[in-house]
Amino acid sequence: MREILLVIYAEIRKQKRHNYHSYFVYFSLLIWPVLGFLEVYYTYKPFELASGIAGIGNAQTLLAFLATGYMAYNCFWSMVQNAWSMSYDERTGGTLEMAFLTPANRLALNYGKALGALIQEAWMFCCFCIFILFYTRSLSWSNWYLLPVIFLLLVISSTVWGGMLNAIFLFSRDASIVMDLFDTPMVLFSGTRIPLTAFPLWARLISLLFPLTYCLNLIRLTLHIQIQPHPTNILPDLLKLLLCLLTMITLTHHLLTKAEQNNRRTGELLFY
Amino acid sequence: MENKVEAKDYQIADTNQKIIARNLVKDYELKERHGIFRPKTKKIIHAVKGVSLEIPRGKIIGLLGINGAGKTTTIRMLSSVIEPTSGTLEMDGIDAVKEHRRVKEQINVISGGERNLYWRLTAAENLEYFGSLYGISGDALKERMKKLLKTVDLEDAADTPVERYSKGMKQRLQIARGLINDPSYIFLDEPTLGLDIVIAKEIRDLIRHLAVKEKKGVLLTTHYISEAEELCDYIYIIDHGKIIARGTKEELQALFVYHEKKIDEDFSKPGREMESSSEADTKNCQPEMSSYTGKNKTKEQEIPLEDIIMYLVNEAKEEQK
Repeated sequence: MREILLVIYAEIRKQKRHNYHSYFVYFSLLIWPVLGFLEVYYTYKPFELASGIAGIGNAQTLLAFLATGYMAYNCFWSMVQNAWSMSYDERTGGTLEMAFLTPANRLALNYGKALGALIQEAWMFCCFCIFILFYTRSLSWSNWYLLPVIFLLLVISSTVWGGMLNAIFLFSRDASIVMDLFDTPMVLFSGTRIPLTAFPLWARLISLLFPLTYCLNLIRLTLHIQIQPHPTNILPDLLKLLLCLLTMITLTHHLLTKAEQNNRRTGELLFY
Repeated sequence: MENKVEAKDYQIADTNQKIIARNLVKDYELKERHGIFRPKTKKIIHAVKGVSLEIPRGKIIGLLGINGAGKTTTIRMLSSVIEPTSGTLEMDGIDAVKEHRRVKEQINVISGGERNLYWRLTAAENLEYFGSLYGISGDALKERMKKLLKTVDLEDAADTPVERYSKGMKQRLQIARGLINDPSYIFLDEPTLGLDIVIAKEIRDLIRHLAVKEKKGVLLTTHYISEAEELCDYIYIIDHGKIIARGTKEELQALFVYHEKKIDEDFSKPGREMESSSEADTKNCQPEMSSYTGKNKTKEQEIPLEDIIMYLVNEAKEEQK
């Protein structure tokens, strides 16, 4: 266990030192998601919200809905980006093969890479979203204790998701198609910007494929962000998320074993 | 030469303390493109064709050959980065193909060039990261880092990002990285590539120190023949994925003299076809280290290793024709 924690910690420190070395990097990680958030907010705003468009009844709910949606999406999306850059930069730089030359636990390496990127990429925007949640009174002094719960939920879900993507990208540097497969469908169908209740049945079925869907449902339920029809029971989504996470962990373990076998056969962890 | 170890030192006390590779074969599947809409065709590349060699602890073993001969693929198999298509590989009696994760604790690879490091990190940060991956932490890691930075003379630049290093400094850091887990076996793939003579000399001294003083088994590939002559206790010459000759420098010279004499005799007998040298080569390519005693020293004039390699490679080409 000590070795596993050591590897995860080393990955987090390395990522911070290597990829997030200046204030400009953090600034860019804040400004782009904020612009995206504002774009969607001001797209919705001209419409009459009192009529309850897609279940959202007022401007405050809309802000809170989008803040939670963008916060969670940003965490999940940073995992896709990280997996892509890991597969290309570390592969061509030879450091990926150097890491696989060590006896380090592969799952720890994988999740360490994901967690390192998550912490660095998402914290500034998360702070912004938390400010919005306080502003809209979804969070207040009476329920601030929910913050660690939300934080834990986001960190665990995103890291497990990121670990799976990292494992997929180990198979090939050309796995960037995964980015296309996951980005637009994830942002569209998971309820990031559009409530799931506004979707037809086929779209809701697709939304079941993304852990982000359950994660967002849970966060919004916890914070009582009222979208009609408003479910009250947290348990179904929690169980679905747990099932999703367990499936992803099992799949990651399997993919890592296969990826290492494949790379030992083909030598593709390294490209000059 | 000063680094030459006397014949008595060639005796390995514990026969298990070495890497033994037998008949290593590595085939790659290469997909060839023929335009966007036409299907790719598969081609099998035979990168290594039955390499057998031994790397005892405390010795520097040279693996020499021209570009594309199979040196790097052999190193990558020996270091368990890739698995052989067939053949066996043992490290200290352990099956290194099956238990590749276990043997990784005892080996490391140092490549020439400027890759394999995080350029935005400092030397200390690079070593800290790679050390952690080997499960080293706390004071043990700090001490190891301090010692290695001193060994490679990078103490003063320990906190400078690698991107600001010269080529020589990066190479020295590569060496420190390769020693972070205190490996029993080190694979050096052209470690002095593109370095000036002063830095190259320092690195050669360090390699010698690792083998002689720290009793590490070292496999060295290099294009600088003088480097191999200076450092290697035993040399394998590889061409087109096969070991075409092996021996100490003196034995290779003797082999060369033998071949030269044979050619002279053949030419002096008109009409007689030149005999194939494959028999002699096959004898020399056996994996046992029976000839690893340095006894067969020739009294002939010293012949540059470069000439011997060129001769053997050309002869192998002739044979293929």
